Amino acid sequence: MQKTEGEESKAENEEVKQVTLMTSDGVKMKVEISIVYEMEIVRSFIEVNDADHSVPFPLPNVSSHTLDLIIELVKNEYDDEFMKTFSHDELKEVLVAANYLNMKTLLDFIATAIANLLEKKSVEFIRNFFNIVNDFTPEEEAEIRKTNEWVFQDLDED
Amino acid sequence: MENQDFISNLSDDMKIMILSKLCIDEAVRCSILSQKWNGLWKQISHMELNLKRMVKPFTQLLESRKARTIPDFGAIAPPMLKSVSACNTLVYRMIFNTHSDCMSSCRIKHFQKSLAFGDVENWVNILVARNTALKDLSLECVPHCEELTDKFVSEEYIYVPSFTHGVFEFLSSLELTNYTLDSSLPFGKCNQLKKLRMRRIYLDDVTLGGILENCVVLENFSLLESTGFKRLLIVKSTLRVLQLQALCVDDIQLCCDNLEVLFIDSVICPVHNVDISSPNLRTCHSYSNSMYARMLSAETGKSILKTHEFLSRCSGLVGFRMTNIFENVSTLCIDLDLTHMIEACVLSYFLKLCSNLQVIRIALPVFRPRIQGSSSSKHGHYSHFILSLWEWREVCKCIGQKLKSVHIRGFRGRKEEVEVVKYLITRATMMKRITIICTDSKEAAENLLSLPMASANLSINLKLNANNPMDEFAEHQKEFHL
Repeated sequence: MQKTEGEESKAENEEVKQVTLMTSDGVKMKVEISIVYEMEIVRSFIEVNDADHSVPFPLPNVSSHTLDLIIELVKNEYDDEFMKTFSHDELKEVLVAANYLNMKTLLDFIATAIANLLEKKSVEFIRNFFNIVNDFTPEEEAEIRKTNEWVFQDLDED
Repeated sequence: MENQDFISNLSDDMKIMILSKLCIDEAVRCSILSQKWNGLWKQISHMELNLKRMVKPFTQLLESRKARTIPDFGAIAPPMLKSVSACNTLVYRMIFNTHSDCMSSCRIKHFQKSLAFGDVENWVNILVARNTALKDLSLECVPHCEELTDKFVSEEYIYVPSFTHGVFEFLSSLELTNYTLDSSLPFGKCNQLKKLRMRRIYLDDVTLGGILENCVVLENFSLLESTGFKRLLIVKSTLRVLQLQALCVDDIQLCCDNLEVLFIDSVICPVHNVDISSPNLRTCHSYSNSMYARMLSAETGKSILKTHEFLSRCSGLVGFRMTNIFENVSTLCIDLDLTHMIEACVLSYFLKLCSNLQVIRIALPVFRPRIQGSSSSKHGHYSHFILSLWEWREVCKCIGQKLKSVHIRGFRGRKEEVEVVKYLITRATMMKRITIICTDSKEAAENLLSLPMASANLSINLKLNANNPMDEFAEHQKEFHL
């Protein structure tokens, strides 16, 4: 008797364990509920609508490749090494998707990772690395350097 | 695509989020990148002010700059260095330049000398008055930068901050590191503070008591590496998380009805003076064997409250108190020496008293007493007792119905250790996962794989990782930041 009860609850668990998401390129992906719950936008929908998990939840702004990356990141408990393999494009896609899905931990993690890329680098290095075009006139640039003199001291040579 | 400047084209909110992760000097410096970055730092939600970096920001570049010519910093540095007062002025400027409604959290690391003329207290006053959204504040006093040459204040003098009465009123989280506190007045009207973390604080019993009394909704309290008080008396029904680390007291009395998480590491206190009442405890961490504990014990000449003493005292196993704080505990993280007779014995009886235990993490000691000559034969005698202790142990509710996951670090394959694992594998019916981190070799642990398992879906994971004291320490610290 006890055994059947156990099996029933197990079957139940299995049923709610995954949610199907439909990505922008039309791929249906089954995703573990624990991961889906980090996506506030999906979570609130599921909770409010007591949703039927067999109907795919549409994510018109997220591609299957990006969703793959996000799932891997969450599964690996936000592994820095894994994220270092991302191209700039992938990084951007993941960031934009994390913002859209309202995944707070992931957003925080990526923002920290990008901040780490900016940290302790010269202005020229950052501009090159991210292809940032310096659109200041020399006068404007000099003005900014002057107002915040202390952060540029001895940094100006390149 | 790859060549596009994606980072500048992110929305301002996202760029601000990135800038909020940087130290203030780095965030300000990003203004120069392009128009899209200019001035954005003023809207940061978190301000990180570190006076050490303000003194000489150029050191930041040391890491990224390719050595064209290695700059002779000895020659360049002196004229660049600012005095503490110049840095202090800069802090005011930064505070006044940020938008007053954006910043929700701020961390300031300052020098001892910033306290000399009341600057730190002033910054805090301005911050809380100006930044209406400010909820989290973290203040740390760091050792003085040796290059500075202000001669007008003495090096030895200990500055006691005199924060304004009730200045922490609107905060929900406060972290103080490395101060002497002589009054609880700043904590007056502190009726929103939920999280308080005090590290390396010198304060007396009256001040500590006053602070706790004032923080009427305190949920999360950490008292770490602090001295000056003799008693730890906490009666607080709002408290949910309590962390105590590296403390030395005469007695500990906790009466916290809603406490869910308790973390005790390297605390010196006579075990018969420990009285804890927390019927709703869910998670308990207790460590007494860490590097910290050894340092503290050597420093004070007193012995640490051992994990097994703490467990047996607070479960009612020994002593006059019959209440058991572990009744509802589902996660237990401890360090124990399973080859030690008393410790093994305590664990075996203790498991009977924890009827809701689902997760156990045990760290076996990194430092072991050397067993040599005569003591070894004595040990052998006990060893026999320990083995039979596990072999004949009846199955309790925890092992039979609740236990789901076990994690053992520092496994050396000693027969007493093997016996515990054997007991768990062959008896724990609901166990899903057991992880054993072996120190020397996996050999002894591999024999465990062939045992008949009590649970139908148990996975046994063996890993090899020589645990050195630093790793072990880091592991505890990680658990610490819950």
